[in-house]
Amino acid sequence: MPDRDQLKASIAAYLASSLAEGPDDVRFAELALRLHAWQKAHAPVVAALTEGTPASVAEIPAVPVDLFKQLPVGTVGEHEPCVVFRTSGTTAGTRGEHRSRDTDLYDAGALAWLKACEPELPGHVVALLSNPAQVPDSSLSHMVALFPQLALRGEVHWFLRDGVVQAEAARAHLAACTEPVFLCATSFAMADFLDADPQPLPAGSAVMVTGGFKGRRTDLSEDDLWAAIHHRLQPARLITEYGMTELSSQLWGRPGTAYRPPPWLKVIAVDPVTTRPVLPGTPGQLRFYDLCNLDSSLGIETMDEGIVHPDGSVTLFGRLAGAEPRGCSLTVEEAWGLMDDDR
Amino acid sequence: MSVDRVTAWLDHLRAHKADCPTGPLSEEGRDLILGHALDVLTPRALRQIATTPAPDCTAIVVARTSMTAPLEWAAMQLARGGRVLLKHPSGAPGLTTWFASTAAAHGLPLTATDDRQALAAADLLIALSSDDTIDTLRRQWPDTPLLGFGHKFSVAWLTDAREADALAADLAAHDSRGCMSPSVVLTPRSREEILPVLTAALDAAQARWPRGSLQPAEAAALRSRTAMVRVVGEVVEGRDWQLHRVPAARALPATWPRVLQLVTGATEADLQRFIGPRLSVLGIADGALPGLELRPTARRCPLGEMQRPPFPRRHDGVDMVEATAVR
Repeated sequence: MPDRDQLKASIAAYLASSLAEGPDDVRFAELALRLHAWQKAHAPVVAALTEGTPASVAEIPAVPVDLFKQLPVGTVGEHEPCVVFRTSGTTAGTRGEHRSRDTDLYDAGALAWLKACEPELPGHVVALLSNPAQVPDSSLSHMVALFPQLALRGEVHWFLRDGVVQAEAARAHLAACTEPVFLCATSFAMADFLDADPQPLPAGSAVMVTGGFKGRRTDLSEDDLWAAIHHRLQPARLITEYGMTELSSQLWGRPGTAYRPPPWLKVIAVDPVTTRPVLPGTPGQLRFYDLCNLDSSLGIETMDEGIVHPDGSVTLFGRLAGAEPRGCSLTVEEAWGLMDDDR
Repeated sequence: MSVDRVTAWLDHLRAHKADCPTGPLSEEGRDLILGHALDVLTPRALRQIATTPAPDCTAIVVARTSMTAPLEWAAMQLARGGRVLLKHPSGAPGLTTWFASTAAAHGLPLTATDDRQALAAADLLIALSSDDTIDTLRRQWPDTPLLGFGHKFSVAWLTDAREADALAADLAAHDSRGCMSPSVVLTPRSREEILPVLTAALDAAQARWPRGSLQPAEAAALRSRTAMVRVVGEVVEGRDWQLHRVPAARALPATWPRVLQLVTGATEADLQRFIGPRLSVLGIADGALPGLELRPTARRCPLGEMQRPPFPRRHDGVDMVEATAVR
């Protein structure tokens, strides 16, 4: 696909140039409009949601994340070889699929932006996550598997199996470490690990947590978790990540600070009812425009609420207000579960 | 005595609808659902059910945005001489505080609270809520009898275009929120036969009972579903209403505000997919599909009556009078 190859090369070039020289809104918009036009021509879902020809990034349709659970979003054909990342399971068992022909842009972007935000991370990575060799459809595991490349040495040790943190094994592994480590986990895996009473990490270590508790832990707030990490593990750095299976780029932050998107990911907050962009600093529904989403959809509409600050950084509030406004009727998740056997 | 007081209280509600909070509905929408709820609570019906006493204290746990649902249960227990406690979600009293204050003015022991511990005083719990909440209540109050009515859905079978206005009225009530709203409308008719009639009916319903406001997540969920239907079906948009024509396999038993989910050219087999334990109401013309069997938990009624359940009745298969009497 020559068009794709050219686009991919242009985006890769922008990844490099925007990091070296800073973001370029004009170049971003030009690339975004080119990418959207290509996706519109090759992705039926994007085409169905597009009316006319967008003149700006904000006019490009953002595909609601739920559609990734119901339809093949993107340009990859049904039988075409591809990499598939899937969202975690839901109560109804429906998982979203993000399909890409390759992970070249994902990998380049993930490494470059983490390095820019958090230089000199330890190459010895301990992950309270599933090994991607066993769970190849986890985008989070895929990303963490890249991290040793940042230090040009090291490896990842995985301590999650069948959804259960191998806390004792992880604790023993960490207790034997004398060099700094980079400990990576989801919030709920980290909370489970802390329950195992781990020792402080070696000096110079870093900890990354990502995601909320998604109803799995109600006894711990985000602030409580961060405090517990500082108290028990005593890392030199505590890093927070915001990512989604439906995105190919990540946002990084520190506890209590806004998340920083890379220059190739633009975040727009819109009024959830009118869909008009809100003023910077005003809460709204978050839409992401990710140039690394080459094969799927440039624009993604989340169900999350947050603030996009004037510098482009993002403060996340969580799910939009009124998440269950349907009285005694079925939720959409329940409805999917009910009809799933027939689909 | 109690029946007289309840009757006076209900008359007050009828006369002062304008004092009632609208919640997310328009004023016309509020008046519509209050009318539905109050019309069936006649003195005769109340005297009929008042022959058996209620437990001393009945607590009714009300879900967020359930507006008039607790009224019939409260009126029934008050008419039988019992006390009633309406437990609403924190920060979301709905109409419960209005019901309680107006009832108190008529000397009726009806209170509203968001304090879960107040349920300790109940001799009977009625939960109009999610399955999770019902399970929690069962665990928390294992010795208190509990009637739990979890999430349900309703569907309609439309054979005659002349029923379109009645169907639109069913859809307009509660702005389609709630388990008695037709989540999916199946019709054996063709798109060309039925679409013009339905769009006209939806326009007329919107003019008579304008849709109210949307919560942020509700608007986002509606947009998500609309996007989905744009890909797999057809979206017809009016002023504050939408018609989503979808293939039968894509129809979901869920509701979105003022969205009519339509399956044209439907067969009885398509309808059968929805006949199960979660079905609350089937709206269907008298005499249509005579061989169709529903579970005892479902109610069959003509279109236009889906959101107007009779009183008293079997609610989700439960005899509401028998089940709430002193045991």
